[in-house]
Amino acid sequence: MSQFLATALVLHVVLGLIGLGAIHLTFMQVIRKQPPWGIVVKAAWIAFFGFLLSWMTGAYYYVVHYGVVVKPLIVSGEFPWAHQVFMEAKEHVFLLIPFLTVVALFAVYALRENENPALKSAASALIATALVLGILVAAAGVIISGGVR
Amino acid sequence: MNNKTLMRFLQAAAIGSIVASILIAILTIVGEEWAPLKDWLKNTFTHHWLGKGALAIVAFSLVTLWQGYVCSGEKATQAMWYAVIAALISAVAMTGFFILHTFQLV
Repeated sequence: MSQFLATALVLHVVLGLIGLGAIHLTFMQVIRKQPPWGIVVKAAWIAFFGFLLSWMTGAYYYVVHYGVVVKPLIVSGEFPWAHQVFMEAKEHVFLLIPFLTVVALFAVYALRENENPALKSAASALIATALVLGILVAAAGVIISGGVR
Repeated sequence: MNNKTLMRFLQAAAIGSIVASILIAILTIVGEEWAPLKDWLKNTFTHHWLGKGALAIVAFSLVTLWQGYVCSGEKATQAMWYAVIAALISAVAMTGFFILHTFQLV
């Protein structure tokens, strides 16, 4: 693997974890009685950019290297399900997350202006959904990495 | 952006997210079962996964912009709940499909 591809892979993981940490922070702050809106808005932006950039760097690695070199190794190895179930699910479920983070961004701005309890419940559920899907995608990434060995 | 505009675009983005979630699930599952769709995605976007992402971005952007100008924003809360449900159903449907596909049940 070239240095550029290795960098893309590392950035994909690190930016994804930054996005995950930021969406977790957004959730934990939004559910407070008096959320610190400055922190919430910044965290929601970081989550959006984290997931977006993780998508872009991951896409480059996935299209250029994974499908050509890594996938055949996993599929012909001891754990083909690491690709057939976990990678296939991961790559497609991941696509849902950036759109949820855009909605989360609008939601935190709307909540900052209007602390409506029903709006807050729906926004918390939406942010939690992005968080849970992000955790599952990250966990699938660990399983896929193990499947190569 | 005033509060009313914010609520309108929140509702619009939630509806855009619902459309994107449904589109991703349909393109993924139908693409696996009906080769011409996956082939078209590959040929048009160089990779089927890039095609799904690009089409989802286009659908989300168009629906959000369109709804941002036509919806009232009064159902933003409801739209967010539907966005949660759509994302969860989409994730479960795609994961379930790949599990069944691995065991050659579909």
